[in-house]
Amino acid sequence: MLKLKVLVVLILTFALMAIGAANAQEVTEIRFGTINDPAVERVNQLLVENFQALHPEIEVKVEYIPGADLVTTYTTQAAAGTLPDVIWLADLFVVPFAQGNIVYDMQPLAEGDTNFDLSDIYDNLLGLSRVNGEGLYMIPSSYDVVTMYYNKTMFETAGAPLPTPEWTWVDYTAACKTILDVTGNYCFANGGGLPTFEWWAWVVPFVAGHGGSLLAEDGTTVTLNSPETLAGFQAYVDMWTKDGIAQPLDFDAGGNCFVVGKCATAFFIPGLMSALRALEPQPFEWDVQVVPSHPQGKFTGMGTYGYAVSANAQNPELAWEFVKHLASADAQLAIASNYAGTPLLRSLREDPGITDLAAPPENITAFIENGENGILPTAFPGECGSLYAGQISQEIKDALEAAILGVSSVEDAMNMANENIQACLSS
Amino acid sequence: MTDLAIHPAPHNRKRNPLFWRNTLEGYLFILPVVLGLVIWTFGPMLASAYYSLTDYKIVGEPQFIGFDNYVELFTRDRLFAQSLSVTLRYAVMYMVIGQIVSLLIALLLTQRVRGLGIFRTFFYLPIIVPYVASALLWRYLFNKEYGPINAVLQTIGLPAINWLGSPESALFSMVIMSVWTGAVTTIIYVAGLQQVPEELYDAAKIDGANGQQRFFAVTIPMLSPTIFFNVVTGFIGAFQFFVPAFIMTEGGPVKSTYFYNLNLYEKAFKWLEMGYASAMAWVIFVVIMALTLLIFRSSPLWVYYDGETQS
Repeated sequence: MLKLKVLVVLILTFALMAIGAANAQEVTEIRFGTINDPAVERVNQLLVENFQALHPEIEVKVEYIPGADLVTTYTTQAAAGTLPDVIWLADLFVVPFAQGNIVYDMQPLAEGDTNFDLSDIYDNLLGLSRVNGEGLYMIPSSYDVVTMYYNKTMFETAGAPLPTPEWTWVDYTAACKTILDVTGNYCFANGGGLPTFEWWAWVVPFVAGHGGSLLAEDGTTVTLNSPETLAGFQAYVDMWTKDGIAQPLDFDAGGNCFVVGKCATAFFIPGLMSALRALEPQPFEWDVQVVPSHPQGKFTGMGTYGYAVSANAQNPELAWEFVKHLASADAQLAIASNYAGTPLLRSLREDPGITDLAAPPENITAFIENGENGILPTAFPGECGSLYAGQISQEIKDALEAAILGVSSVEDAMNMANENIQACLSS
Repeated sequence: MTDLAIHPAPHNRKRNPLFWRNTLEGYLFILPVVLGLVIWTFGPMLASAYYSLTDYKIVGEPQFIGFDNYVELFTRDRLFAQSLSVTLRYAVMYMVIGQIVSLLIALLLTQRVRGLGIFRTFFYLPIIVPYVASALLWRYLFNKEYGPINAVLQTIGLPAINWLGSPESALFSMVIMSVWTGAVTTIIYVAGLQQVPEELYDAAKIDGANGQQRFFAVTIPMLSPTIFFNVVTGFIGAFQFFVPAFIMTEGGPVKSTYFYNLNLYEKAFKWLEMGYASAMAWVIFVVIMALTLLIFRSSPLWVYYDGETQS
């Protein structure tokens, strides 16, 4: 009898120890997966420092992942159920990660958090964090709307007028031709550190700006070859083929063509500011301006990175505590003060922490003024890919490349792409 | 007596404890290799054969779809045919040019000249340069604006060539780079040339054969087993071409360097279509196997082994 009692006591003791250990494990560590990139490191530090100030008892374990291996690492971790609690991601991964059950839908967490005001974040930017307008799968880091950087020195040397908010793409082209004639430099930088020519955030605004769209309103009919869409594609391709103002696809500038001073403009997000300001001494004067107008108005793209609670988070509420700080006024002003982005909060629109930042750029508020021109990438149904990856992006890229290199006309190339994408969507 | 002790009669072997010990030791020695093959080669091969019949995106369970991936490959995927065509054209160009250049260099490296060791080392150097570094180096050499190759061409009055930026020349540029890295082929030819008996050349000389005749009537036939080996391994290697295209051109321009393995890589790791990529892997496996068999079958027509009787 005594033996039995001893045995029962031992079993209960071990069971309590095991439960205690499991509980202790839940609250002692949070895993944070991010990329190893200097541009992101300061934001990583901000999040970690803030979280540790709130929860000194919890250790933040940072797991760096090479950018090139990000997708395979996350997908294999998700398959094994070992994703970090919080993960870094970018807009292009939102849809596949949400559909692949890699990221957690943070919408209920955001709505249930009285200390978090989701409505203060610009709606169009939040669209990059949603799937077909639903859910919340990423807290973006910055109001990353594609805006025009220009080399003031090169414009002035060539005697070309400086960009103004009233500019149209016709004005842009005329100034660029002057620069090309006088200096021999190109205008529209692409590749070599910037996105390549097929980036949706450049192409789709041209299509929208000419009244076109990639998909009809029924959401299933592909319209790459509608007259308006073709006009948009043609205007974009003309920068290479007709006007010769875009950096040729095979022109190796030895890096980012704008940064090395061989291209007069770059259309990119605010994060490029920090790279330009880091150049010592400044090789040329530069500034930023809102994008020029198309016939149908001003349109531009967006592209940002952010953070999310992963689908494998041990404690989603705790992980949310970590992630949500990114959208706080403190974090946003800190990001802006490092010239790594512009605030995504409406409440900071006219904050001196932004408007009074030292130049360059002189016209930093152009990033925010340009924000309302930001449009979202077209969402395609089915499993044929998106504008970021898969067959759809491949078909459009191939068609644009053929047209830019003069292998095919815009119309022929887009007709073929239209046919192939439609066949996939219909299958 | 001693002989019997070492080699006991077969029916007595199994009673000998030494036999079992030796057998066990033998199996233990080969066990790591066998296990490695089963776990890391045959296992994944079988798994990929199964995945090729599924819709599998890593996350989530594979969904069995029969031969749909193969049907898609052969009927609807324009990039499949295009990438296979690029790879085949590259393989043929590389085999012809690569074998000829390697053989010519090997002939030079077997001449009795001063500093031969230095020349051999020089020609072997490319093989010790990492593939990625080679690709970056050649991207610089081929650069249209400031590449040294175009600089030399322009110095001698020739026009600059858009090596990697033109659909017409990009694939050929890849061939040039591959030939440069083909030092192993050259070394094997050097070894083969050194095995050709000197007396055959002496006999040919006595018969009045000139240098060209000796090359085609003695060197080539005696070297044919080496050529055969280089052709088989070269073809297999050509079909696995990936790194330079991935680094130097990303398959462009206009898909002119879109190799089969680059296509496979993108399907697997960019599009996460693991089932589809597995089907692609099996197709290229069959293609390589068929071409290798074809070369083997053709070998009696052109490969001569010393000592064999020609029928």
